[in-house]
Amino acid sequence: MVRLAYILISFILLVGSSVVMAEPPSKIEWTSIPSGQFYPFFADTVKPIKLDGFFISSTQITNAQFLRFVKSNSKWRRSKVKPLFAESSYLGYWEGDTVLGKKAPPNAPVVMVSWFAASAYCTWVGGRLADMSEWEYVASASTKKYNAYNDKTFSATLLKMYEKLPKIPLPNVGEKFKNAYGVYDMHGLVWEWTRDFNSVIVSTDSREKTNQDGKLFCAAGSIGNVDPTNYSAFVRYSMWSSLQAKYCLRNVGFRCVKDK
Amino acid sequence: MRKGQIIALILFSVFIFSSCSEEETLDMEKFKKENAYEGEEFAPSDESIFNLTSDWENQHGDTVKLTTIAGKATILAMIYTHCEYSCPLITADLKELHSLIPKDRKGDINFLIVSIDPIHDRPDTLTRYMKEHKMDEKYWTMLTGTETKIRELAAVLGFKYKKSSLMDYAHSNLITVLNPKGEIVEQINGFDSDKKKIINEVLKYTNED
Repeated sequence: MVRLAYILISFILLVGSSVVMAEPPSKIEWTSIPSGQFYPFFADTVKPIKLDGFFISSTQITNAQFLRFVKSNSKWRRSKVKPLFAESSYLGYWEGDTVLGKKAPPNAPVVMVSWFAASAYCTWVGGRLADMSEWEYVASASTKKYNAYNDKTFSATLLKMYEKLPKIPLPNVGEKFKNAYGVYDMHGLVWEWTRDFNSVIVSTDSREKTNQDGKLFCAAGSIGNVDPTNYSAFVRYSMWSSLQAKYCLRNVGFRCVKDK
Repeated sequence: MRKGQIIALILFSVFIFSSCSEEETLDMEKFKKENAYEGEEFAPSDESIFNLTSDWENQHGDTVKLTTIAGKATILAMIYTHCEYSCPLITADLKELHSLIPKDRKGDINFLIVSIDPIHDRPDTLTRYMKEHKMDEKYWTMLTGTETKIRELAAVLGFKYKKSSLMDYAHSNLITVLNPKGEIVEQINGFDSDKKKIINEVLKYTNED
């Protein structure tokens, strides 16, 4: 009898502690981004895009933050998600439906989430995914300068970062690269979904450009103006163009924005 | 010789129809019962685009869901009406597809055009477009939505598009065939598409009588 009580109590303690451990602080911190101008990499005109100000989550969304979402939105659990909205690898590195486990430190960025899941999360927190132009606008800041894309050392640093993106289990967010806006990890941790990632129109082989694109894409020829010095943007756009909305990849996470 | 040909033709068509009715023909009544399209009990299949529950506006300005096309096979394309490049070709392709469907089976197949330009393509624009192109509402539907809904549908279809100027978009030239459950069963990119292939696919979901 005493033994039974002992087992019962330890069981309660165990369950209790795991619940506490599974929910570290998961509030999103928002950084205000002022309005401004931006020259997109794949520009169709020489005119810059004007952007309104917005708020962006200071870090990528973490496992702990995404766990809260999954707990209160059961259709986004691993076992419930529709294959239309996520590949079978969705949240594959988590221990269970609502258990993070060893490979998913609470404060590491959540990855292996589809574009649909990322969009749903951002809507849930009252925001949305960033547009590519907004994302690039924030990402163009170095540690000191707001617009550093034409800075050769910055470009070189980014390319080096892209060469060795970390692997699962990923390090925590908000510890390394903090840019001039005060936003963390725009580069060097994991790639990120954007709301309009499926607007990057490039063919699989750029040598085929005129022939192939002409047939597969309408008016694709008109958007080929590329700033050749911005090779890091080329890498990102290639990454985006290779994605499909239901992909769940080990090195693609996301962050959210909110309109002002 | 001629007689022989006719007999061969009859035998061949009997063979085709019998193989169809064994495997491909759907019992529409049973199917509709199992997939109650209206009311709360409707639960789309895992791969169905009807999992997108967003509201759209049709050419009359009525609010509808994508399930407005449920229950019949659908040939679907995304365009914008004032496009001068490839959209007219896509529309021409769709119209050709429609003309290739046998008369008695036209009623079993929906044609759906979803606009990617939520600003310029309002319901009245869509109505005008359909009139211009002589698209009979019995068979054709046009929808317009918000940027978010369009992006979401585009994501599901694997359709890429980008606003390239104030008025124009660059976009994939994609025609999708959906079965009556809203599952993607065929997709054709570009203009070299084998239209017979699409027609054969889509006719699987029609009643033969």
